[in-house]
Amino acid sequence: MSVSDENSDDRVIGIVGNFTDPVAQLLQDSPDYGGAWFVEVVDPKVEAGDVELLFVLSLDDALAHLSELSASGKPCHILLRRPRSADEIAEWESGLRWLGLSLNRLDEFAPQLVALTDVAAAEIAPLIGRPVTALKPLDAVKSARPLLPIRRHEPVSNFAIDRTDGVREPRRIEWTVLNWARMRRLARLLAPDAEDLDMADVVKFANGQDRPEPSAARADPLCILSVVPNGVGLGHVTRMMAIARTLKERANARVIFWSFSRAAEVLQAAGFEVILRQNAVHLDAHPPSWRMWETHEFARAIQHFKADLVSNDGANIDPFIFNALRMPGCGACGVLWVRRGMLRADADAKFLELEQNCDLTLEPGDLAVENDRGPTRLRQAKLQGFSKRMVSRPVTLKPFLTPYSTREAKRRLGLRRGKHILVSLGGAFGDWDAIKRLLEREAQRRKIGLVWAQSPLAAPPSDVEPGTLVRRFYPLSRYLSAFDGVVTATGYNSFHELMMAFDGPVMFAPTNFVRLDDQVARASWAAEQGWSDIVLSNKPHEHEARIASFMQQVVADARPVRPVEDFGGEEIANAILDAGAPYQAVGSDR
Amino acid sequence: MSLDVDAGTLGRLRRLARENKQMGPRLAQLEYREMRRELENPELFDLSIDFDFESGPDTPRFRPILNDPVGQRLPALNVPLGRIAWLEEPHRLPVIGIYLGDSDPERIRVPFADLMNAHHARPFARLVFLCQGFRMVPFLGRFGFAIEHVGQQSIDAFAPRVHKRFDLIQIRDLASSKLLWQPDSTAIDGD
Repeated sequence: MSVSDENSDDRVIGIVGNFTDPVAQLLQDSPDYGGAWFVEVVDPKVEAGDVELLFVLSLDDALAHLSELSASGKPCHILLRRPRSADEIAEWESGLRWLGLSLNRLDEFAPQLVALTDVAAAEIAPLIGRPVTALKPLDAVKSARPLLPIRRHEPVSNFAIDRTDGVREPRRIEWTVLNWARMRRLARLLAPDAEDLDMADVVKFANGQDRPEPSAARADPLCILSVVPNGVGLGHVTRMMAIARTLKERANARVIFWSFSRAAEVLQAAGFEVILRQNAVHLDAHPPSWRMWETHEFARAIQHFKADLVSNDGANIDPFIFNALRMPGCGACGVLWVRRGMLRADADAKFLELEQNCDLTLEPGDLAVENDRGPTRLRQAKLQGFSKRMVSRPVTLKPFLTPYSTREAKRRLGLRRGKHILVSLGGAFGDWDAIKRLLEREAQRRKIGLVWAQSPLAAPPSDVEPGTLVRRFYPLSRYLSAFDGVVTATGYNSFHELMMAFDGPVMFAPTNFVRLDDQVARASWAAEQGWSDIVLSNKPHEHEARIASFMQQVVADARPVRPVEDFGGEEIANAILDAGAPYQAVGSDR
Repeated sequence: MSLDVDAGTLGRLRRLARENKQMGPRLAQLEYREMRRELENPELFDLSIDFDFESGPDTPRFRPILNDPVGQRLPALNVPLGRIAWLEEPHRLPVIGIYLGDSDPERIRVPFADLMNAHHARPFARLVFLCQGFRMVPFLGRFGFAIEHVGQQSIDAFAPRVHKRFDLIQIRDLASSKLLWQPDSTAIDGD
């Protein structure tokens, strides 16, 4: 594909004025301007090169740039708006007259004057002494939606949503966090301030008008742009691949990964398209400069792929995602926040307020939820916006992977006959060397082979002692039948894969190196249920006895009790498809 | 923001700067040795990923930010020197794109090692590795290099964007060291 294939011949509209103004955001749904690429133009004379049309957002912007607009030689539409308060009326009227006089002196420049509504056009035309056309109304969104009042000087709006169980639930949102094209899909808007005529016009324009023959819903399958951070291991990648596979198999969804993780090849091998990114730390880049790039390129990707949802896995969401979503042309897209529970009890709860930016906050279920003392379980966001919250059953890749037989798994891993224990310890488990020595000694006593697992992202092993088996392979769960026991850290994915897919003895060695993951709580719960054993880094005096006991279980082919296998795939797919529905529905044509 | 610091803080800052000058080269030496060790390991680029799924298609492309008003305002991003080299002021070095056009990393071990020898001994540029495949990404990332995955695109297709993003002055082929692209030119046949 050459550069010219990349929609470079699409119509480009230059926006003159505040690029995240509500009207700029609503233009993507307009019958006149929809389907175009929107770019911010600061100096129309210099920057209007590839732009087909300049759209000026207000009288003030027109007055400030009139000579440059004229010099650009580009077709120009100037939006004239009514005043925001009674105090502005005299100034507004004189501004309109001044613009009318100025235009009279520019013979070569004949911009089209437009207004948001018929009423506004009729009021403005006599004052400026020129014809003013009302923009064609947007298609009204048909679905039942809550009513959201918008007052210019009150950044937080209170509203209520009707839950499916009949309960009316009060909600709050900082309404400026949302793109107006998105907001109109989520709510019927109301402008209660009778003096703010501009807001009344913007709201009327946003709510649109019913058409006798509504345009058809988009037939494309759901498209998700999935952001995965560069985590410590493969946790984010694995979880999001499981969700993406669910959506692909259930709804033929297109999931494109925006990957800060270097595990890009893993994602591609799992059948997905991957856009590899580097974060500011990778580049040692000035964070605001890096964020500008990320914002603009992410916005391009949202528009190009016509993403219905953006997903983010992680406790935090970088602002570039929300900045991009507020850009004109990016408003027909919602947000799925995949947020694991079991955060440490001392984790700051402020991040919960990001919920107001989201359509669905999905918490992959944790079998150890009873031990969850973190903020996702015990605290609630004050600003929840329109977000639905769902705690699903656990999410793992296991349902999508065919496990190997014992013989095949051993053959592939190059293991001889006899018993083997898979060891996958986190790098930050207290005295790592001490526990390694203990494991080796106790295994040797019982003639058990230890197989040290390595991430496929890690450097290959070097200086390996004779007799030590190191294997790099992924995903783990296909090979579990090769092992008679497992010693592992207690990240979400390893924990759930083992508890639901392995029937031999497991010993967890939780690390709390990962700031936001309470591995000790997770491993302790499993130990209390009798599902597994545990060694804690802060209790080294217990290690020897616990490891010896675990090895005895391996020798005895013990089969500990395990929770019933359960996977939240279907309910997750349904919830995500519901979250994407407003953006695929009538009136969402981009 | 005030830049006033007390004498104690100033002393500590001076000591840190001094130690950085001493330790930076030593750390780079250690990283370089580690890289050499990795490069000699035949398993370096083995990646045992074992799914039943059909592999995903090449990286999807989208409208680049180049000559439109947004592109004109975006600043060039920093390119790190990489951990195997050290300089007091690395930002003074120009940025060069190194095209890894062969998606089989085994075939580029030798020229890559040669380039790294030169880069370690006397850094002449900050390098952005322009990779056709993903296989080398974890390895390059471990040593702190900038990476752009360019997939199967032609050089003319991806060069303007990476030029804009990193202010790079030329693109060279890793295997042949041939000059492939420089600003205000199309692809170049020879050096």
